[in-house]
Amino acid sequence: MKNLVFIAILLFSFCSQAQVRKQEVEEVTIDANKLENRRIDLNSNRIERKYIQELQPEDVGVLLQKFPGVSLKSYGGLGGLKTFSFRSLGSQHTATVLDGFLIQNSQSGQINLGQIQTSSIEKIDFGSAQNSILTPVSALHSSNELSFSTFEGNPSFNSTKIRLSSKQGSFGQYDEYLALQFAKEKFGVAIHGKYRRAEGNYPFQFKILNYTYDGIQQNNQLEEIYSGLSLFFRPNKMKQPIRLIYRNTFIDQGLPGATVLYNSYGKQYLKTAQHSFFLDWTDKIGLATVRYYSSYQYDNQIYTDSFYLNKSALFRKEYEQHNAVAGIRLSKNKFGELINFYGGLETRYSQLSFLDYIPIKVQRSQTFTTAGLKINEKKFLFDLRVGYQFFFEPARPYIVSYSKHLPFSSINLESTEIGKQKWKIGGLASYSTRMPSFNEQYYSQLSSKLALNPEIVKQFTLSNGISKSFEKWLFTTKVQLYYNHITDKILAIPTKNLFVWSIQNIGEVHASGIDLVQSFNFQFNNNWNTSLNANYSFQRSIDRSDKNSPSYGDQIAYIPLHTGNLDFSIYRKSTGLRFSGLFVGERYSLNQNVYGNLLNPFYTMDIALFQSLKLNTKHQFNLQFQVKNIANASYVYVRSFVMPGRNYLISLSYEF
Amino acid sequence: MNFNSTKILPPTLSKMTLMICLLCLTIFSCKKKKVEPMPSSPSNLTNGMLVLNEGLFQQNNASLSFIDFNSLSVDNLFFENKTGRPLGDTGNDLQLYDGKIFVVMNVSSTLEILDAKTGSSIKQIQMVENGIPKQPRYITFSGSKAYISCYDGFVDVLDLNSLSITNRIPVGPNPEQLAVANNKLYVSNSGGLNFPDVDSTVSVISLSSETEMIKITVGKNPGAIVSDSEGDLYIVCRGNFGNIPSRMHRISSVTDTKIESFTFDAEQICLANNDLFISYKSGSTTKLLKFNTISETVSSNDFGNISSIQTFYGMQYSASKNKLYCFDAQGYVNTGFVHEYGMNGSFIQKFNVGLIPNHILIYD
Repeated sequence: MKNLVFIAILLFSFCSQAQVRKQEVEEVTIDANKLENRRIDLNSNRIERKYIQELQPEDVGVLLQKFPGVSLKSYGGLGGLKTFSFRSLGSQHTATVLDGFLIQNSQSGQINLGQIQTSSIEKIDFGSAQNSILTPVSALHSSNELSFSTFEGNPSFNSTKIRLSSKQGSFGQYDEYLALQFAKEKFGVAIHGKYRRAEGNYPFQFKILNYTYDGIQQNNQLEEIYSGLSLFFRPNKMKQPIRLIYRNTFIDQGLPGATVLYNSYGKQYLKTAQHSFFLDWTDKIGLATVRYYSSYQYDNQIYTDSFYLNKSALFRKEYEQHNAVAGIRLSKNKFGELINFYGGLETRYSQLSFLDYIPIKVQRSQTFTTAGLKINEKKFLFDLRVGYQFFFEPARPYIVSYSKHLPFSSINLESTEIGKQKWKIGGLASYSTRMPSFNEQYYSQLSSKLALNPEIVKQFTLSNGISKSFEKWLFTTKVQLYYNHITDKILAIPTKNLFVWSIQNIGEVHASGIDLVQSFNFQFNNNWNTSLNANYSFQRSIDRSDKNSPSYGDQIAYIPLHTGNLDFSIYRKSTGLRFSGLFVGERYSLNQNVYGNLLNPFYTMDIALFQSLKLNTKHQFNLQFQVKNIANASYVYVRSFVMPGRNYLISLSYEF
Repeated sequence: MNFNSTKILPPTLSKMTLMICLLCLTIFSCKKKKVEPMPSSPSNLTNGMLVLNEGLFQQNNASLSFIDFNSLSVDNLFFENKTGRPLGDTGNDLQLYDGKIFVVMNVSSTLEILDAKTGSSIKQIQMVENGIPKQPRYITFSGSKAYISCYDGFVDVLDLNSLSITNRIPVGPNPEQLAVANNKLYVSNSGGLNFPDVDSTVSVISLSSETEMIKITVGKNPGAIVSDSEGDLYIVCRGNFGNIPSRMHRISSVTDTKIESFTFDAEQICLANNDLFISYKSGSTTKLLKFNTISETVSSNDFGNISSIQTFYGMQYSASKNKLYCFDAQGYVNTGFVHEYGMNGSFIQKFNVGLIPNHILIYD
């Protein structure tokens, strides 16, 4: 309540400032020889390819924790499960979009960020869903959107491009990537392939409270193959291309699992296969832009445990998923770009089948509609969006059919950049929901009824950003205050005993906090320049589920009060050095905030040295050497899942 | 170059910084729970209760709590304070015998042996066979031997003099609890990891030859087993957690046959002299049934007032205190309680301990 009052006061102060600062917006001049001015996007943050190349992350999970407000849950190792929460909202509240297409895991509702490769990513945007014609309708319904744009998904016509990279690192890691894009005036094709393998075992120090153990994380081997083919066709120069993209993934990995004291004998494995097809085209019909899109995704996962103490001395479980999406997006401007009407319709079908002691196949369909109005006035931007979702699961033995009607709404008001300081303020409020995943819905597989309601999220965000540039330096800052109210949170509750649990809508979380983002760039002269980027997040996420519970009023599990990132780079011509640090404060492994559940805070630092070489202005080579976790810090994101100590990576890449 | 901050920073920035500071002050001033201080462990164990807290799977947070009956203080880091290391993962059984405390650690696959007077460590035995953890479950004793059920389908024999495993006796799949009667060892074979194709037998082992003599078919998914003063064994078969209910059966140790199956629901059992306390579900709450092992009849359908227990997780009788102790696992995600009851069923007091308490030892 105290926080709410303060946010209200703050809102008032922002409004007061806005009234006195009625200046004309100055045009931002971008000069290639000077520092590039930055357009502040209040509700989203972006990571671009240059940064990804300098950071050389093993996967998207590492990148995502660079965004303020993100709490990563990494289960360790290359290819290991990585999920996240953003401002106390689980990742099921975030739509993951790849080149404008939704990627899904309807089984868990969570995309494994450890299986999204970074080699081909051009940029990542993360925040509230953007009103772009490429944003799927269902993503507009989500609390947040994580959007990737890749090399092979976005053609450059009348050009030929090649990308090649090779990496070698600690734990027997090899990583080879090749991508080609060839496009004439009307037709284009892109292919890509990536092979990565690692022996994976790494030494660790495991700290529990005040005790430290040394060991080797075993059974961490990994072999991955990613490949794909993209075809583009552009009927004429005025039109967007038709895109047909196929991607596949094959992963064979050991699952080291949790480090169990005195017992290091895990033998669990996971095989993953994924095939995805994406098709879209965008057309102009009068003043309207229309995008038609569809996708199909097939996932197969096989878990095995050869130490399982049953009759066959083997545990094996196979899951198959089919996810299909079809949709249409519309956007129409009036009075130039002053008013924009947008909307769309999307339908989604998901199916999960697996063999338990009886074969199980579950299905669901969802239909999303959205209508929005955006006013792009000189001094402000206003965006109102409403939506409706129909959710349906058909009847099957023991299970009755189930349907839900779910509304969605959001309103965003922000100023345009004011004055020389490029000051922007804005406020966003939204109401969104997320349906239970198949895992949650069918945890009690033989239950005769389905009682789960969607989780409901009310988000309120106030943002304030300033960008200031002079001839040699650029300073950008962004502050966001937020309050998220989550009700009907889906939690697992034991019913009869430790073996019989049920999933219920009984959770309630009140989350409030602040995200600060600062960046500073300075160009000493034509040869030397430097940049400093930092962010800090304060999250207070309180369990308000049950007044009689010992955890009532406590910080919820795995949400640290404090997190921060610091990146410092210095460049001399084509040589650079980057320090990258991450701080995660203390948090608890369970909702009850007692000493036994406390997880130690940690700080990690990476350092990278890179050199670029350009030949004939077309051929570019990059060489990079990186030391990760340079202080050899012992840390965990998730209790008992130890992370690797100091490790090394060398990479060479070529671009044409 | 001029780095005078008053010139570099735009005027709005200073206002914004001020607001941020105010906000941080507001948020930081919010009430924050203090982490409780831990009392030190006593050098000698007297007049108190040692509690095994199971902890959660793969969280390495099993623990021993020591409750001092004089000060009513609770030391939840008893094992760590005594041994300088954590107990491990999933504490499954705690017994006192021959001046030693035995702690069976299921997922860590260890047997921790402590001095019963001081609590200091005597030995840790790693329960591993051919590189595969045996996953020990329960322990019982006879003479100079201890018998440990292991989830890999064996009962390990521990020589209490040398504190080493001397024999492995094959039994059924995933054996659980054990009981000694008539110079024989009775082992419930759950087969739980083959669910739903669970086992239905009790293995009978000759203590002299250390071999399985016979398997007695009782009911699906055998678990808890106790022997009474007349040499009868009572065993709970947990069914399939669905349409086959959890029921109690009686075995004669003379004929080694099942002689009776009871029609009332039964989940956990606890022997107190000639009475059995049997927990069962009544709707969403757990109740206790009192059963006399001499007359083989139910003397009370609703013993004691245990409705304040949120997640009933077992019980134990203390002969020296003549009291019944019930365990509350508090939803398995919060620290649990040990509730103390008089033998007339009256609630006396409760103690907040570690995560998922499941066994106690009483020190007079």
